[in-house]
This record gives sequence, structure tokens and C-alpha cells, in this order.
Amino acid sequence: MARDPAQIDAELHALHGGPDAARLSALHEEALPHMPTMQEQRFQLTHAWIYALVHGDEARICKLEQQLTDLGGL
Amino acid sequence: MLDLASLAADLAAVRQPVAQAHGLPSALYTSEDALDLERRHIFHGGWACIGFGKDVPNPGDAKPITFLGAPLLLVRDKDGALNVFENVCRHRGMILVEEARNFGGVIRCPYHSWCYSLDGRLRATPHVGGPGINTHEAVDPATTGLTPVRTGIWMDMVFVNVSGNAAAFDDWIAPLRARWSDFEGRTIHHGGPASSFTLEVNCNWKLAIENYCESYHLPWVHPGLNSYSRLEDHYHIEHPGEFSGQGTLVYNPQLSQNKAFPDFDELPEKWDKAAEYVSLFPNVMVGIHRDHFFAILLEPVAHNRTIEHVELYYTSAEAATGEAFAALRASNAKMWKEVFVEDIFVVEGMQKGRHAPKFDGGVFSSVMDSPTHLFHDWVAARLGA
Repeated sequence: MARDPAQIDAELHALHGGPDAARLSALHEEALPHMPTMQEQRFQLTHAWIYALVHGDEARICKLEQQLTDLGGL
Repeated sequence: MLDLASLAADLAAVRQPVAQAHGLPSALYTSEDALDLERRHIFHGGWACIGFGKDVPNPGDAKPITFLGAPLLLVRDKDGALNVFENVCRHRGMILVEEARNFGGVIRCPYHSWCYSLDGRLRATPHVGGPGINTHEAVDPATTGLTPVRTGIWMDMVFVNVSGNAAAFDDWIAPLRARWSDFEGRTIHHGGPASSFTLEVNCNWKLAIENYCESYHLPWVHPGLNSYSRLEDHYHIEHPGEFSGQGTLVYNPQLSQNKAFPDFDELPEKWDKAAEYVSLFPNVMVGIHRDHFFAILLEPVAHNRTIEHVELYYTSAEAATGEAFAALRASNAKMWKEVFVEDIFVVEGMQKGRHAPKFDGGVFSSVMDSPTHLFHDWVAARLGA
């Protein structure tokens, strides 16, 4: 069941600056459907991508880079 | 303030033959300006040791090192290669890594999140073209990676040339590598945390090198060593422009009645009793024996303060980390620490002595002090004399 955007935002704030890059990436991706415009989606995807890079999850990086490319972010 | 006119004259006096020469002038030991001069002409201008491969043993390990003001980053990449970069983002010059850690993925700048692969490539520039636009024609990843620092590795020691202007590393290290060719290509194994210690010494870095170069002081400062390794059992090691030191002909470790470290395989017979101790200019002091090796990295933190980082290595993984050798390793580290601590009062005493208004750098014994003079001559040459 999809979480409320405020819950996602609260968890993002709680984890900010911490070491759990995988979770930060997942949270930004979870927030994606709540973004009404392509620009906002691209913004969230960018953050999901950066934290996936930090975590070093190659499969996830490839997937997010493809999504970003499709939206004109790469 | 360093008086450059009188310094030039003093350095010319240093460069005379040993019997006529004076030692380096006191100003080079007592002035912050002198360390700044040496930083440019010696430490950043040539090859110098900044750390050890064992400091970053695993892929993804990174260790920031501030080397006389230069922020550097020692990194082991995914393939196991060791590189040194400037520890700053190419964007706004932010420090990238504040403390030693392992990176599972990229190195992310904490400011605008530009990301770099462990091999230094610029991997991501988020929002660089506007929100959600992650590329821009003005930022070319091919030319905007981490700035590499020239690096060479020998006997696990990591050397850098910050200026980028020194001779090729292989040419620079070749003379000592040739002298110790019997040990070339051998794997050395660090003895772990108990084989690693530091000493903080209130003296200029040069005094530690000078003291290490010569055997003249052994009977007076190290009576324990003299009990089996007399002054007459030592010889000078002199390679102008590179290194100097001393060797012994009676190496005979007596750490245990019934146990000894394994030797390197098939060494020539001369190493049964020989050991050599060399100051590799400017800032590393090394000792080679048939059964172990040590390196002392000098970190000059001020003109009158130096940290000595001591690391001990052995000939096999078993000798370096095996439980069967733990007590012997502890005894060896204790023995060397006692020897190095015995040297502290003399180097600190010489540091205090450099404030005597009329001390002129001192005179040398052409018989006993030539390795020390060789070092002084090298410093003078590097400072432009």
C-alpha cells in the first residue's frame, strides 16, 4: 500500500546525512508517483540515482539511468 | 623571518667537502618560513612518502592525508589499484573525504553531490544543467575527474610528487632498489596493529634523518645495541642525491631463546649477518633484515615537531599475523620502540641547541659523519645552493 508523501518526506529527513544510501535511493523512488510533473519526477529520480551510485548497486543504477534518460535528465 | 641572503651563503658552506663543510644553518630548524621553503622545494617538489598500502587494504578503502597543507586522498579502487588524488571536488574545491572509510560505490561530494568513481572519473553531476538535468556541455566528465597526484609504491610505501615535476619514480627509486635487489619482488606482510606505532618528537624533521644516517652515536645512545653490535661492526651507506645510512655486519636478533621469524627465501649468504638502515630522502627511514623490514615515515607537522609513523613487516603471512608469532612480533616491536625512543632526547636536544645564537651549523668528522653531511648537502642542493 502506497505511503503518504508526508511519511516518505519524514523518513527522508530522518535519514538525511546518514550512511544508508540504499534506503535514501529507495525513498526517492517511492516518492516518484506522487510527483505531478515530469520536472518533479526527474528531480526525484536524480536523487534516487545519486544515492544508488553511492550505494554501488549497479543494477539499480542502470535502471535509474535509463529512466532519467527517457525523461531527458541524462 | 628567513634571511635569504645569509641562507645562500650558509648553504654554500654546507656544500663544501665534508672536512671543510659546516652543517645546515640553524634557521632551517627554527623558522616556520624554512619549513614552507622546504615544502615547496623538497616535499612537494620531489618524491616523498605519505603513507602505506596497508592503510587502505580493501577495494573501496580511502584515507585522507594532509601532506604539509596539501589535502590528498589515498584510494584503493575496485580492481585493487592504489591511487592518490587531490582530496577536493573539481566543482567548488570542497574537501571530499574527511576521515578514513570504505566506499561501496562512488565518492560523493557533500556540497552539490558531484560523484567520482574510485578510479577518479567524474561519474555524476546532479542538476548541473538545472533541476533534474544532470549534464551540461560546459562540464566534460572526461576532463573533470579527480586530479591525480603522481604516485609510486615501493615496499608498501606510498610516495607522491605533488608538483608533478620530479624525475620518473622508477628512476628515482632505482638506486636503493638496486642496492637491495636481493629483496626485490618479495612480498612483505604487515604485522598488524601491534606492529604499528607513532612517536611524537619535538624536533625538526631533518634531525631525525640526520641521527638515523650515522652509527657514530650508537655506543653512547644505544648501549643495548652496542652489546652485540659494536661501532666497528658498522659501515657507511652513501648514495649522493638519494639516500645515506649505515649497515651492520653482526645482525643477530635475540628476541627469544627458541623461536625466530622465518627469513626471506634463498637470500645471499651476506644477509645472514648483515642488516642495513637507510634514510631515503627526504622523509622515510627504512631498515632491512633477513627476517623483517621496517619503515619510519616522518610527518613534519611544524618546524619543531615531527611525527614518526613506524611500521613493521615480515616475510610471510604466518609470521606477520599468525598466533604462533604474536609474542615474537610484540617483542620485536617493543625492542625497536625502545631503540627509537632512546633517540628522542638527542634529536630534541639538538633542536634546543639550534637556538644558540652563535652555533654555525657545526662541523663534521670526515670519518664518522659523512652520511650526515651527504644529507645536508642534498638539502642544500634542493634549496638551490
